Amino acid sequence: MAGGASAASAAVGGGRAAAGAGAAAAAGAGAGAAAGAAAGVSAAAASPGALPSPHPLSLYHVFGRIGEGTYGVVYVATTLSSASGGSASSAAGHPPQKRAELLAGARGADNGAGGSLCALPHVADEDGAAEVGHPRTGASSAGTQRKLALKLLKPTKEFDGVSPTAVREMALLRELNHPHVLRLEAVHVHVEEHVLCMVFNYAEYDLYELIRHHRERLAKSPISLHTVKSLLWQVLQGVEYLHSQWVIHRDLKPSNILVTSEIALGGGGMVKIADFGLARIFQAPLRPLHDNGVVVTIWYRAPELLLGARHYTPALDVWAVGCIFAELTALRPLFQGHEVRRSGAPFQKDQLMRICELLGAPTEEIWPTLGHLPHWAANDENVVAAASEASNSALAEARKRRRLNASTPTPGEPPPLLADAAAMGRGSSAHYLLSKMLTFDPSARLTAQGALNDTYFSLEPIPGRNALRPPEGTGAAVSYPPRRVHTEDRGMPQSSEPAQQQQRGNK
Amino acid sequence: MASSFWTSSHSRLLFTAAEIHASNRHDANSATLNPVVSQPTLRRLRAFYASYLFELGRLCKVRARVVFTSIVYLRRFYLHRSFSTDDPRTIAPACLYLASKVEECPVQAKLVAYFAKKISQQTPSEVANWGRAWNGALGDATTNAGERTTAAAGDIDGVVTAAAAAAAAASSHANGTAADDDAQASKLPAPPTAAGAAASQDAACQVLLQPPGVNELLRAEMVVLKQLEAYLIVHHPLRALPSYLQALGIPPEGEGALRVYGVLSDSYRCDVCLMEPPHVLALGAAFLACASACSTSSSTAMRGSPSDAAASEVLREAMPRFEQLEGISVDDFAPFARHMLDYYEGDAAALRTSVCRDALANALGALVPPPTTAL
Repeated sequence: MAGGASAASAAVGGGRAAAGAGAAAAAGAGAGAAAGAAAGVSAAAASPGALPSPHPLSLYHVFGRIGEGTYGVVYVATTLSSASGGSASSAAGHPPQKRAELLAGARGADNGAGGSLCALPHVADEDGAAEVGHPRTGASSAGTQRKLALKLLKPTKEFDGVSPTAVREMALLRELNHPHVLRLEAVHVHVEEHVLCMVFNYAEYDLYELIRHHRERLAKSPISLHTVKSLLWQVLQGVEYLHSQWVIHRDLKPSNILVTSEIALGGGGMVKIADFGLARIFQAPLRPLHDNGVVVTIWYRAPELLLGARHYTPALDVWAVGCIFAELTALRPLFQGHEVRRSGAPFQKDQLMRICELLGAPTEEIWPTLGHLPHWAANDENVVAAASEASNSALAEARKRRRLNASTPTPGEPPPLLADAAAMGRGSSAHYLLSKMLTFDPSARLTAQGALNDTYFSLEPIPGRNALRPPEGTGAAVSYPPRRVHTEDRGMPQSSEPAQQQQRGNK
Repeated sequence: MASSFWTSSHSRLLFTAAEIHASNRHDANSATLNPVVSQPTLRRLRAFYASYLFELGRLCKVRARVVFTSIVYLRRFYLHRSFSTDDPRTIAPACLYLASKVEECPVQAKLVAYFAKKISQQTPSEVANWGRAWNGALGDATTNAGERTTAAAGDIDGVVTAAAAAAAAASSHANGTAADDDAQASKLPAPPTAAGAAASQDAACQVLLQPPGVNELLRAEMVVLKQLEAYLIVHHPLRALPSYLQALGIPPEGEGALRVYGVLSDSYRCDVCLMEPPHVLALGAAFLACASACSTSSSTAMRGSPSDAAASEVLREAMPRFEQLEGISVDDFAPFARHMLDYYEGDAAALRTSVCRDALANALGALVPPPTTAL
């Protein structure tokens, strides 16, 4: 049946293409005038694909690989042509590759004039070559070579269709729109090759690399207070937005927090939260959230998850942000537990012990629902006693090394060992904020909104829009190395000059 | 997103009746087709495969939300695409398959294919009864042209009158539907067991229900994803419905609520679900259910059971409360009501007839070339 259908489309599609193009041109003009009217019907009425659609990567200048995982490969690329102008009518007659960009340009122009953000959210291209999710960038990028990250998902042939992770990420990102959430620019679907490609704006840095640079290349010199505070502020803004949209990210960690370079459109030193493969809407799930299995990379996993909570809340993202905060100041992960690698979501006791060492053992007094958590209730691996033991021995050890006054800390004061581990002054506003983000009881834990209102952010230095550029007269910006691009790659459709040089020149 | 419909992609993907009418232009205008497939036929094809998705969802045991989402996918898909290049017999189940992933309760592709095959073995009378409970409720007895004209003229009283006429025979049909989001689609209006269950399938059903293979299904999922451009999150009023009902004084668990829910389900069987925001679908469904209950009060023949009578009473009492709703006036869901009445009188009634199914099968046969053996 499929064979018959595609043969038919090839036969009749050519004739339709012309008529469709004309219609699209006429409709496109109308859509431009009435920005905001979701006139997708007419504008997108072009004929179904008659030409074989190009592979997504062939639509871009691909420089090389910047990441790889079980999900697939991430490439850095630019659009093929820097000419991004034209109108919908001229676009309609172009071959698919060009048309995608021209439509992008046309969209941008339309919306620049209309000044409307609620314009048609998509431009349908019958060849599926491209469409543009958010029209704003089209106008501002005219004449520049925009760098993009292409997330090419592994072919889905072998599996049960498109992976749920990819579906989840695309579906959510299509709805999200925030300066600190990495924006999905386009989605390419190549039906014949079973290829899915998500196109993002490129972000040069991520917190993992920033931290590593300070730790390994700059002799552990700390990241400036302004930068730490600005990064945290922006991360929290993004997380607060996600939670306001009923989305839990569920995989916040330094490598998923991207930061733009100085030359980036929309501003340098801007946090972009990325990787929504584990994210989900938590309002009215059809199945318990727990059913998705283990979430959050172990070092950033909140204690309620470690103890096997079946219901969880946005508070787990705040815990992860707290861990990232401490990592920014101390330049190493705060709770570096050893992961038990076994199937069936094993109890990660070591991770929990690391937490107890710094924060003390949890009690039902500070965490009323503690007794309901499976691993605690069942006292798996004698966790209850082990938690106290870990906490006590860590305190004893610290006293022995005279890092701590023998006197017990006054109630209400944040855990002193936490300040040491996070390289923060004891009793400092940072220390207080961190301890409130790392509260055991998720219902008592600071929310992202609460964290943003913390006094830490109202004290000097005030967080800035550009996290990497220090305020006037407070020293020079640190120059971070750009992302490594692997160009020697197999399966690369074309190679070009390495992206590094381009970046350096602009810095 | 979940928090606000008005910032969602869905809010930008609502279409006017004219835009929907202009869809499938290749199918409607194709010079290669003889006879030319008419717009009403295309509309009925969409309606037929929407009902098909209710049935497929029922068999796959997915929740109503998944079925609703899949129908919106199907309708958005055929706004742009042609039946002649994308076979609805493959695209419709693919929509359900994709929707089950988006709504986080995935169904295996082979199961979807299996149940599509099951459906293809249903008898014509079973097919004719898809969604009968509600279609039948408001559609069967509606032939009064005079009142129809009043409704079309645009005043809300006319709609009420027409709804009343439409609903004269309504009260006996409220059967097992569930009114909340947790309702399994399997509890949606179920086809009554056909009298002649052994009756062989007729030719039209054979054409219309020809099941896809798993590989075709997987391929079609990509095709749908591409056409929808990954705009996958769709808002439905299922969660909000109980609070709307409460505001109208209709107990969310009662029979009256079930009738409202039935009309809401039916709104996905016709084009109106692409035209109106979710809250209008919900309130419009409530309004229509109430309007039809008002008519049964005037009709002397109360054939229904006591619980039906009680439900009608509840709905009648709710009618004046529409005037008191804040932020919305009755006029806001008048277009919805008119559209639904048109559907009940026209397509819904027609789709139960074998004549109509024959016509659809012919149209589909003309649009989709018969399978050719690969060379």
